[in-house]
Amino acid sequence: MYPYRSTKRTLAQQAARLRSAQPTSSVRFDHLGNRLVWTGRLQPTAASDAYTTRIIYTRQQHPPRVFVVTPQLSERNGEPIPHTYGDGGLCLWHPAYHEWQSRYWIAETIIGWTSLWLFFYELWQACGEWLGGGEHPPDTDNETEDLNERH
Amino acid sequence: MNQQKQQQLDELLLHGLESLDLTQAQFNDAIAKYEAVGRCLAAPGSVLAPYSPTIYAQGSMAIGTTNKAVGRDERDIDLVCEMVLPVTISQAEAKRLLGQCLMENAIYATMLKEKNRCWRLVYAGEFHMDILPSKPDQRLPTPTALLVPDSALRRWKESDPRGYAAWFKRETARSMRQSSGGIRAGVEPAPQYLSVWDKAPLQIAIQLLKRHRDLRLNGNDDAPISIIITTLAARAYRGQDSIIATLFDLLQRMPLYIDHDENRLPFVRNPTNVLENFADKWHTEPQKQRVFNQWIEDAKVDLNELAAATLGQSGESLKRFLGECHSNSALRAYGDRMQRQRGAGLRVATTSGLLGATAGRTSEVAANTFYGASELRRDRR
Repeated sequence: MYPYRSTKRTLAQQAARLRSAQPTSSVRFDHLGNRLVWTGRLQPTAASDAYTTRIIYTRQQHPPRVFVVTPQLSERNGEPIPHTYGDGGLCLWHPAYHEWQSRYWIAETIIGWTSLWLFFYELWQACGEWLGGGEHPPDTDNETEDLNERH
Repeated sequence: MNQQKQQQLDELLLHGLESLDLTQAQFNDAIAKYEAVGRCLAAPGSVLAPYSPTIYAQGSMAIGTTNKAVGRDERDIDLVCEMVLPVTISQAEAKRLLGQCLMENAIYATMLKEKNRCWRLVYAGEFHMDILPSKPDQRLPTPTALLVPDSALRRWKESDPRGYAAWFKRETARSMRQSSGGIRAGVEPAPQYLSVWDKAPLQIAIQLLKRHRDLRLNGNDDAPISIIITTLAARAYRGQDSIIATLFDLLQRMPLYIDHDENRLPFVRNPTNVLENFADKWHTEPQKQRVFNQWIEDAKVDLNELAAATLGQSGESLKRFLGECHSNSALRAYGDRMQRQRGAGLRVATTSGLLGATAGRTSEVAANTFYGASELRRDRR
């Protein structure tokens, strides 16, 4: 089924779709029913760990946030984990490219991206390189550098 | 271990071995180089021309199990130079003539090193080619039987590299996976190139065992010699197709193929010459057998760890069989393959998160760009 449509999805629709995608997962609502919390298990390959993963979605105000609950993600020889936000959430898509939109199904976008992220996280643990590609937000120093280059 | 995990480990090991193995260009180059040596030795007017010399690969080069040495760029390529020699020419004289002939070539003269019973041509940064003089053993009915000098250059000793290659080829054929192993048996010319993806599982397993030995016993003079590992592995092999399953079984069964002679001393029989014991040194240096036994036990432990490791933990265990550099190449190649699948309709099982799933409830993984702050800004520009 084509996951993209023009209308926005309600929390209840997203919840139903997530339950059907992974019947063993749990979906609950909190914050007076305004926040969806999905907890499921993802194991990207046969040799991978099985990760208990949480997706938190507040309808249409913020994009979904994704956290790994267990096993706890860890640094590698003091190197911080690539492609994560300050709160430990996973950076799965680029906001500027509109890869996530509230009319999309979480079950058919975020679950696959999380599994891929976990796969590349494991390879990073094994060899120290992030092999999944991606981009990094500019930091102040480099922005100055970029501006200088333009002149 | 389930079948999917077995396939995944096989794939990682093959990726790693691929970066360690000869490339097709290196293989062709090695053969072109030794064939050129052969033409030089047989050229009309050379000192060897009257003895019709021919040169061909023996050992790992002939049976497709050549590895790169640990910490060295050069690979060892073992060759025999077969000559029709009159009985009046001694072992030492045969070796001297071979050396003289190579020295008469201005280029080879600069690359030549003398060894105990053979001559080494050093192609710096590429190969060592050890060329051993030999002559047909006419006492035996086998057309491939040879006589080669012993290490003291005092007597002729039986050898049959082509017979060994033919035997080895038959053992690899126990696998259901059809592969010629690239081995040319009998009196055919050069071996044929096969990439690790086309080799027989036995060849791959032997390369991994030898690599494990090199890494674990680097510099130890008592480390088991390749011909012992290769012979025991080929005899113990029961036709598994999975590399990891083959390794598990070989490590259990290889010690069972160490026979004993009438004095209860260890005997690793040369399959082409029942009288030859590849482990003859174990009689005078019994610590060599202890090192062999300990190595088998260590390899079992390392293999069990590899099988039990999650993908995230596999780096350490892969290193024990491949070394750090090739273990990282294996993981990189594995990641690259996933990246290519991402561009070609990769599916995920939503029930489990399994990537590349084809059955059950699956959805196509939509295009995405990992974003975020924490990593070094490697690929920004």
